[in-house]
Amino acid sequence: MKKAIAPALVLALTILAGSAGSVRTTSEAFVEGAAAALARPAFPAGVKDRDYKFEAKEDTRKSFPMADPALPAELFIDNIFGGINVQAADVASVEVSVRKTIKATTQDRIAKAKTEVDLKITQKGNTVDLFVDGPFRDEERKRRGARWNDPGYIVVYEFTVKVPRRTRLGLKTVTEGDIAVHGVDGGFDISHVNGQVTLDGIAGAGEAETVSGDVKAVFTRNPGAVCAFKTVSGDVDLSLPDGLAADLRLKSMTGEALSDFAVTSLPAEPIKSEKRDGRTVYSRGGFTGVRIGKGGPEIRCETFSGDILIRKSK
Amino acid sequence: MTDDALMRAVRDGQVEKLAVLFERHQVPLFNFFLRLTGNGAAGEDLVQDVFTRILKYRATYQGEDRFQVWMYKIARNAHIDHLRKRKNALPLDELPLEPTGREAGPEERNERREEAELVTKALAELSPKKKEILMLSRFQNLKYREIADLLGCPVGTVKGLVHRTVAELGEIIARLTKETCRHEM
Amino acid sequence: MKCEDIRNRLPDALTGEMESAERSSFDAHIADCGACGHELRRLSETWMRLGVLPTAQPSAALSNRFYAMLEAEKARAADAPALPGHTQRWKSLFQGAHPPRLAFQFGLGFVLLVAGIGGGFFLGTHGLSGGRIADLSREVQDMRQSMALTLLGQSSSSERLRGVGYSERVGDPAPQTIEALLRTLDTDPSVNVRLAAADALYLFAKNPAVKDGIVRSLSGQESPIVQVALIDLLVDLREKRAVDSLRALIDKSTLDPAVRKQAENGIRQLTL
Repeated sequence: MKKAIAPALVLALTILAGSAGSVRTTSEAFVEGAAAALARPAFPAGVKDRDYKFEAKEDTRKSFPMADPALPAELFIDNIFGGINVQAADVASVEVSVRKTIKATTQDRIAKAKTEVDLKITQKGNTVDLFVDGPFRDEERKRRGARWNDPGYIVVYEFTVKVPRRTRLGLKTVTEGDIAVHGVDGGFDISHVNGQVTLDGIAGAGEAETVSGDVKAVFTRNPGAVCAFKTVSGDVDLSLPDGLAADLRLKSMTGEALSDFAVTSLPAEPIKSEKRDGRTVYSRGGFTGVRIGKGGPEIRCETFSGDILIRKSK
Repeated sequence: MTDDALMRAVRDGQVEKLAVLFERHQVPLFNFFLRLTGNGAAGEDLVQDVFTRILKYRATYQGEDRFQVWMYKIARNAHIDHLRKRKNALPLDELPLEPTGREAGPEERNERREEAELVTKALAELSPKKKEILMLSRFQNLKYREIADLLGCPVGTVKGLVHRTVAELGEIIARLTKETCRHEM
Repeated sequence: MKCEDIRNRLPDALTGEMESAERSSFDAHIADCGACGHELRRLSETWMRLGVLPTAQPSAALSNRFYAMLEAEKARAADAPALPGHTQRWKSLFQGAHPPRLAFQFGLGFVLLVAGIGGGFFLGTHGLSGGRIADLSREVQDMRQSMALTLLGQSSSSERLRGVGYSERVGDPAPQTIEALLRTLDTDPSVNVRLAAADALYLFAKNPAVKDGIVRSLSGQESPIVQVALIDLLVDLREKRAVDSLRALIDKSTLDPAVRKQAENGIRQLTL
């Protein structure tokens, strides 16, 4: 079920605005809302096509022992260009590996990039914070997201981080990579724009979103608190263990929602059902919520043009 | 169902509810345009134009104004566009005269007819702006505050204009009455 | 009442819009003042005469045209992609136009679920109606809030901007966070950060402390951009208590003319 990853934010939004029919105000409001919500610079569609003839690479490794190994660790990454890969291991420290690649149109822009863009690393107790800072951060604030003044370079940071099993994650990036998390148990707050978000073998509850890409999550333990998974032009694909008891809230404009689990309707809205080829098929009609098992914390899944898949893991 | 509730339903997808609003407002709207343009066919075109625009821009309805105020904003714009496109036709003999109210005797009906013709002629002498503000306040049940919002000017200005317009209309009627008498003599 | 006042109120008398309190002093004056009484009678007579204008009936053609247009629009709307809240559209989608092909592709025991579209579609729940989902797990909320508070106290403006960003994503901010945002709005050395704080506070405007804070902040702001942003915010929130602040602002001789215009506009809008 591979969906082509659409180009940068602006292009994706343009496509959406165009396809939402004649009611411009609704799609305009949506577009504005999406842009404002993500509060990121809107990149021109041609970032990938720029002629970055010059490159400079730099690798860094840093290890951050936990102040209190008995408590969960906390990792924040706030990036713009580049993917993030987080792997849980039996460690009592956060081990960060960063590959920094400067790509520029001229040689002296490489130097410019070195002075203007910086990775700020701080640790406070069990919290490790990695923040990519540059001129694009302090841009002229307009209510609808800022313009990106092309400086003739981009600085890509690719993060590979090993963390203790119990870690809370706050991960953000925009493009030029995906976000992948493996085996972590803890709250998650993940925000991406142009790329896929994959949470594999995780436990805990939180929020994961992207704009152009799928959001996939495989849980080893059913979430005990509210979760939200959102994308625009991608699927929401969740795998949850047998015995799931939750209330699902589902929204998809043009896609479908499919589930391995048996569902019952949530009290507010009635559903009609009919049999089709031996499978039970439910009709839509203003229906937004279904209950799995005896119900429980809310799991919200939203997509615009993609599908919602709720799998039962073995 | 209130106008506002109906329009929200239209906005949110139940376009057929616009029919209720049409049935409620087609006559007052038609008369509004008729008295402004003096032309029955133009009046109908304009009513159709207003509902076409309501349908087209239904997503923009927010219910901030009363529905009628919103509708008359659209009506004004339609009328302004109409004025720009064509010269104001004024064949008064086209005016359909169907009296409302109780059935009256033949003399009374004649008198009413003459009276109506007189007032209509007098109205025709007013500038479009004055006619419009008079119609809005006298016939379309809009409060001065709402008219001010519609026209984008202070309430005081609206009231002053209504005052002057009514006074002016009175003078025109007086003059026309004298002329008619002279004519009939 | 004086004759001048009566003149101003004559239109209200004509439409019957006058309040009863005013009406009695109005009538009292009319009874005594020949000139005003005459004026009222003159206008009333004309006003009444307008009543003879017949209520014309449009022809049947108008109805026909309208209903034809409505049918055409209904047909056209059915072809357009589904819109939020447009429940009719979902029924027709289901009726064969959108077969559940995925179920077969996966070969797993899938059940086609209902995916409703009530309300608005939101990515980021960032609409003007409020901040993020308030009931998102405590853990994630706390993470964001504590980051926000830490960052708002940092020395670099980009860190503080980041802090404002985190605060926006807290569903139900603690008083501590609101205070920090208000403090940032009042005292942050960077205009950008203050603007960002204003945007964030707007999301939490249901909280009366926020509205009060914004009104108070307005009088202390020096930057025209921030002043305008706050005025816009207060008008948007229909905060009538801001009117006094706006008036005080206009009285400042050093006020930027663009801000003055905005403030005057704001007063007009709020006193409507």
